[in-house]
Amino acid sequence: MNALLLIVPLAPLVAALSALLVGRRAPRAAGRLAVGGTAIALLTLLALLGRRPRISTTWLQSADYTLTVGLRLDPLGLLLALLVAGVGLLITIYAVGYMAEEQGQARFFATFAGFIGAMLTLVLADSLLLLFAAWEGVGVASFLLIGFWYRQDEARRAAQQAFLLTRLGDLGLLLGWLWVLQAVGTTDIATFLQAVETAALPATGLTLIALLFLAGAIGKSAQLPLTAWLPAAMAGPTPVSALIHSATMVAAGVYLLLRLFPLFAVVPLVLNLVFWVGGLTALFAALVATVQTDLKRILAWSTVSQLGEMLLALGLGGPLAAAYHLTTHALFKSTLFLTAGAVDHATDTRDLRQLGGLRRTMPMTALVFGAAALALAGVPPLSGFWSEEAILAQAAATGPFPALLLLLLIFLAGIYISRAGVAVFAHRPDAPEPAGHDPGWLLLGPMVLLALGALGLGWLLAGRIEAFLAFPAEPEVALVWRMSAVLASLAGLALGALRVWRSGPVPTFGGRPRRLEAGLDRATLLPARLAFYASSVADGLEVGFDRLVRGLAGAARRLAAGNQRIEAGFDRAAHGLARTTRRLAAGNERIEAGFDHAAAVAAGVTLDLGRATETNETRGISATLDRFAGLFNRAGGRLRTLQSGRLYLYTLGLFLWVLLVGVVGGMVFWL
Amino acid sequence: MILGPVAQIVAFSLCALIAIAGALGMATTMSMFRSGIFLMASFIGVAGLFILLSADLLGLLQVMMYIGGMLVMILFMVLFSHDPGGAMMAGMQLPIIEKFFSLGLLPREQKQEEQSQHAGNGHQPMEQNGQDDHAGHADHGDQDAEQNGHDEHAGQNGHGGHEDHEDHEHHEHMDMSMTTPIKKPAAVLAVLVGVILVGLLLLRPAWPIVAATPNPNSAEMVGHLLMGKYMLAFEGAGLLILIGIFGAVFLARAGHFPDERGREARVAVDAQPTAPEAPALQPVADADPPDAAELVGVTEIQTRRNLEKDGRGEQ
Amino acid sequence: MIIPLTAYLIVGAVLFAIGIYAVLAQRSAVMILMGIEVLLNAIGLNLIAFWRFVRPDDYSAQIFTILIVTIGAVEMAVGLAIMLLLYRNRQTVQVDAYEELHG
Repeated sequence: MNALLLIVPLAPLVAALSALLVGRRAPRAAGRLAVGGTAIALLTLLALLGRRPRISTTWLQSADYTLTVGLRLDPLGLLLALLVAGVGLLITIYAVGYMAEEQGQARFFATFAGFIGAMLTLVLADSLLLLFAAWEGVGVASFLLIGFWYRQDEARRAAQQAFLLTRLGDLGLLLGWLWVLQAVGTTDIATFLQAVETAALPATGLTLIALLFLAGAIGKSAQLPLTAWLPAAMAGPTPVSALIHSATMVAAGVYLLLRLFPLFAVVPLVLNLVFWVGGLTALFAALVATVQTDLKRILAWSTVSQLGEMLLALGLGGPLAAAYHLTTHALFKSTLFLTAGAVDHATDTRDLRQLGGLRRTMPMTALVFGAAALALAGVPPLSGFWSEEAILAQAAATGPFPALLLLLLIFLAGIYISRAGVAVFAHRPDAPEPAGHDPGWLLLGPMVLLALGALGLGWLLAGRIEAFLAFPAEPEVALVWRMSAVLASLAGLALGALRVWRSGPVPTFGGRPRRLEAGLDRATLLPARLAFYASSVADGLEVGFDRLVRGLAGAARRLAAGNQRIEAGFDRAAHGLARTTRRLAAGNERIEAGFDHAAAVAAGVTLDLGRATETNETRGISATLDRFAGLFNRAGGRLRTLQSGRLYLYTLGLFLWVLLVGVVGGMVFWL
Repeated sequence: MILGPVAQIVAFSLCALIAIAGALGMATTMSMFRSGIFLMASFIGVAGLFILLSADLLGLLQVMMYIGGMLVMILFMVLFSHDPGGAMMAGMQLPIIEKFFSLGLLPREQKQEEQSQHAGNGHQPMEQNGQDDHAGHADHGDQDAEQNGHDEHAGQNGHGGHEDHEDHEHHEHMDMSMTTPIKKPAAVLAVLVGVILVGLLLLRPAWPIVAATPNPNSAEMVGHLLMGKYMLAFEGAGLLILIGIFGAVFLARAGHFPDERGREARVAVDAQPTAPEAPALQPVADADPPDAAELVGVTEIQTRRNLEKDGRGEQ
Repeated sequence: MIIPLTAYLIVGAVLFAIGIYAVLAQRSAVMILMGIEVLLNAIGLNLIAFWRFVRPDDYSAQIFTILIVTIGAVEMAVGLAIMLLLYRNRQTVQVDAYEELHG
């Protein structure tokens, strides 16, 4: 039976790996695999309801230290695991529809399923080591998902910011569990908490350990002073914002504090700090949320504020209220994010100033948003009302100041959420003609289901969660406070709506909160700067020494370089001369080439003329003359035989002539 | 001088035979020396005929001038020739007349053998040789054989005439024959001329013959005529003889350039007329230093004189 | 005068024919000169014969013959001198060799 527990985190992780493998060839399959994996995890969790299985093994044993790895399904873990798996499943289904037309689906769903797996591991972990590993895995998945659209500059920067700022908190977590390991000798959480309860450890050490763990929680939950990364993380896809940055991952910090509440319970100083951190964060974030114009950023600041409320509740010593609010918040905030995604999908914008009147074109979305918003605002009998009532009870039990603070927070929450809802969905005469429509059922289904959860879960859990969780029950709340909270909520809603109705989506309280936002940003950067400066000082020392060494080397080098430069000068002069000469030669050559060409052309023309003349002569005049010459030559050749140079031939001719004359003469004479 | 009829006929026949046979022998024998002797016989025959015709002076002149002068000169020239004895042609196939007149000639090597063995009497082996020759070639006919040989010569000359300047070997080959390639046409022509002349004489015998007897003292008559009527012709002949003698002497003397060496010297003089290093120039230059033009002239003259001296020295 | 004029003329004609043959057929210049002498002899014989039988009182024929003999002597002398010169230059007296001017 215990083995079934392994399936819970492993199913999404296996789905993630297979999605990565299959995704390249079948991108559609990646989403289904993620849904399937998450569904298996959820079903396994449901099958394990009522049981408390535990798997734990020693990974490494070295001298006094034992590194254990294990899973354990206790009520808190079961609550959060159900939350993660359930909300995760719905949002995964929503994401399948939402990301249908995006590239890199395999990457997205693999990371998404990986995140769910890591988150389940985180909430089920029985070992600080495994918790830390899952914590880091969640951070990596968050980084990858925020930077999913890595081609956008904003997304890239937001991803880096989120990763590095949470790293500061993670450093605290790391140091904390290492200290625990050093102090207790094991990473097993139950053992550690048992040691804390038995006061086997020194108080100072515990305080420091608690502070370190608090730092980790602050980082992960975007509390002061590390708030800035969460609103920036809205650059990621909306399903990511809904799942990671509202329902699950940011709740990991609160979960850590809840899980280790016995530790914090023994160190009231730290608990006090938690109260202040949470309270201030909640207040500031709520104020900042009233000035935002980006719908998702409003929700992001709202999340920060709500997380601050949880810490506030924790700081007041009310883990039950914190867990309660964590659960309800996950539902209604993810619902709000999903509606924001639907609006974004339909209108391609999240700017309040450009939106308006979507109530007509997107009635279902508007309905869902309205339900979730009312739940957030704490309107009874919706879920937010119950959880905030629990916190209020805790605060009232402590004193009037925390209660008033909480009332203020409720009031502010009502303002910013009603402002956003009215600005987006209510009809405004000055708003542009609304475009868009309700999304398909693939998106709408999870939204509606989550909205139903947001509406009813609070009431469902009311009175039962105390029995479920092992935390001390919260005190009863006075009716005055209860009515005050409802009034504050309604007043906030009314004020926010009225402001928007009158003057559009302007900041409810003017521009001051905006300055506050910048201040928060700066405050966020302060620890980072400090860390940077610290490292810079060390760097500076190193650089100084380096520079000394380099200076010595540089002097020697400069001497050599001087020589070299002189040589280079000579070289350059020689090169210059050579180049000039070459250029002159090239010029000459070109001129000569020109002459050559001209001469060649002239020669060619002359040659052609000569050839023509030659042909003419050869065929005409020359042939005739040749024939004449040949005639004379032949005649001369025949005649020259007469002039043989032979004396006897001449005498023969002479005598023949004489004979002829004699004969002819004699015949003439006689006849 | 008056002879009886029989004596006249005998004398005429003898003289005519000697003249004709001598001429024929001269023309046909292979030995140039024999030709000269035959010619002398012919002259003697003709001289006899002159005397028979009462031209005593001319007969004597014939003998004196031709035989005493010209024939000696001819024989002298014959000695210049390549083969005066006809030894080269002795062993050849010859026509009957030429063979008759060449009878007794020996080929050079045989003649030398013979001279070494039989000092005085060379006739016996000569005749045997000739007979052997004839026995071997009796069937072929001498005319044909000779004709073939001359045809070959004719062909050679016909080609050689165009190829002019034959080398020495060719001349040697040409020297083999005594006669020209047109010997047969020449013979035909000669016979034709003789036949025509004789025919003309026989066909037209009517000459205005007078019976008068000339003055036997013909020398006186000729002397009177020469000194009287033909004085100018006589003087002209004398002048002609004088010029002929001058010319002959002028042509035949060694002259400035009697041989190749002399000609080369002349060429050298023409090429370098100044000849500044000539030692003969020295005294002239010392006596009277001339300018360049005079120097050239003097040098040339001097050189010629030297050459002439050399030539005489050689002679 | 038993011997008729024709007999002398026939002898002259035969000598003339032989002379012609000698002049034409002989290659040596000396032999050609000899042939010429024969020709001249034949002419002289004819002249003397005609003188004796036709005009015995006129001795001009003898003068003429004497001139012919004289000219013959001169001709022989000059011819032999030319021959000598040619022989010096050409080392031969064959008239065949004297053909530089042939066409």
